[in-house]
Amino acid sequence: MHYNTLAQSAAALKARAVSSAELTQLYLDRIAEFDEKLNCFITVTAEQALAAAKRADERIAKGDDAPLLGVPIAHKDIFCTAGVKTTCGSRMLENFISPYDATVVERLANAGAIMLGKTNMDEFAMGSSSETSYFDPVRNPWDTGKVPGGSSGGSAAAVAAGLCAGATGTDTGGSIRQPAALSGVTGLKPTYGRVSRYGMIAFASSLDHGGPLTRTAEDAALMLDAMAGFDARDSTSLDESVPSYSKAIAEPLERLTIGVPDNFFDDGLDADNAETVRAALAELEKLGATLKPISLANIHLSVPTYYVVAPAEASSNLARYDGVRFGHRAKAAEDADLIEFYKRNRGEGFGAEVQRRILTGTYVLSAGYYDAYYLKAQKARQLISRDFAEAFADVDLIAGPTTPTPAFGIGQKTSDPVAMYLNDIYTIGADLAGVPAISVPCGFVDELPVGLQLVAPHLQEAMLLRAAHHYQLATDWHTRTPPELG
Amino acid sequence: MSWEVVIGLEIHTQLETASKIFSGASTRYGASPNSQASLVDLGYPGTLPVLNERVVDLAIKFGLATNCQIAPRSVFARKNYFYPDLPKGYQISQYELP
Repeated sequence: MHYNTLAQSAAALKARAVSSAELTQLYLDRIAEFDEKLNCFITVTAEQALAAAKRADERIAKGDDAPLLGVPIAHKDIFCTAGVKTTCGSRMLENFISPYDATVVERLANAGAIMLGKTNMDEFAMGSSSETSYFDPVRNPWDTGKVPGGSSGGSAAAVAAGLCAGATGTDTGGSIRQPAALSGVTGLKPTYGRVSRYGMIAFASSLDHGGPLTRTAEDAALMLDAMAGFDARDSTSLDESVPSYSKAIAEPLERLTIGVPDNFFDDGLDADNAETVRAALAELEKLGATLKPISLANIHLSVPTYYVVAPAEASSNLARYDGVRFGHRAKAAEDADLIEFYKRNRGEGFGAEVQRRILTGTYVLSAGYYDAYYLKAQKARQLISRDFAEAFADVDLIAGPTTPTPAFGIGQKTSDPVAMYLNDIYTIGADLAGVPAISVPCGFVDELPVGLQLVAPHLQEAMLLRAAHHYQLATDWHTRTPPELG
Repeated sequence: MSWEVVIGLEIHTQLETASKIFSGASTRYGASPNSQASLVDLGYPGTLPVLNERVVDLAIKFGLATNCQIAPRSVFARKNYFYPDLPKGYQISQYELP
């Protein structure tokens, strides 16, 4: 039952086949059994979860039919949760208790979901392996010597291991889709602005996207139904109507033209991954799709562009962490003045990767370098966005690999930041262009999961989810579970 | 040698709005200390600014009253620095396209 989808659990709860209290206890028991090894959770809110489950059962008994009523989920520790620690995977916020709920948290609670706890992540969402967390790395449930991906590794691994029915994550350079691929689950990055960023601790404001990690595209649609929509508290939130994604996916799949970028299948892609993804593309053809080779001419600029723009925005967004009003405060030194105070708090509170990106970001924004780096990167970003727009004039969706390799070893890439950055080579483009994209399980290489990525034009999540859903109706990769975990 | 005097005037004027420019918190004069500082003002994690509409109306009125050109597109920019009176570590200001 712990591997049931959100949809199955929601139905079972409504049919009174199981109670929310039972289901919640089941997940809490699994967390108690497996999480010491996997380290998916930073905070488990057991008491609150059981109290909420009890209330959910009362509502169910009264006939309340909120779509996620009584279903236990987890929130990435980047989402502010009122009265509950929100650490962002950092020593800087180790004991920070948020005074308010993020919009995403509010909306999922309104839909009836139960929060089991807050999941582990790369510090301030900066990473591709969940190894930069102050709270130790997350381990991949398929092979605990390997990374689950990042930065939403805790959420991805928790869903993969049956420690929750679904989870929230954020994607700035690929941080929902890449861990979904490496951990064998489904991960959706919606259109920029589709999901409110209010209460989502900011890393890079023009690149941050909140979205679901689930066992299926159907579940992702259910969570997106609750998460999406205009929020007056987020000025970048899109004032566009939200269709019923869960209804949209059930419609028959239209005959799609799917663009396959030739430059994605080059030397950078592991040969076995390539073969697995090509097999998945053949499956899409069986579903009536026509594959068409396309070229995203400037896509090779994605990683360098991102690693100028994202650190720049991060250096500004993280300036508020000075230890004054909240956050880590170093032990007072006799001779400390204000600047010393800031330096000590931030020097201790932030890990190496965060400091690296703040320094890079400050540099590229500084006088004399702004034009050469930040402005140039913004122009490159325009080119990349335009490539997607031009491609979508000819194709309905773009398909390809989510990651260049399957999960790598813990500690394997931590000494080479650039090697680590290259894990996002296929995912970053969609963040820069703001277009929606999803990763679904499509096979295994050396018994490790491989992800297929689909990308759609702005606000076409319905078509995107429908394609992913129909792929999952025709295949069973998404039903596999890690052998060691029962 | 002759010198030419150039004098510039930087004028700040407080706008008559019921709430602040970006946080929605009250601007009521005479309220007790620290009672009108919202989470946005304090730069709490995850908070976001929302522009006060009346501020824009007043700025346009002022521009018209002083015979200025009204910019059809106005862009805010962050002025980043560290200072004790700056909770977010940046000021929301204007630079290239005011």
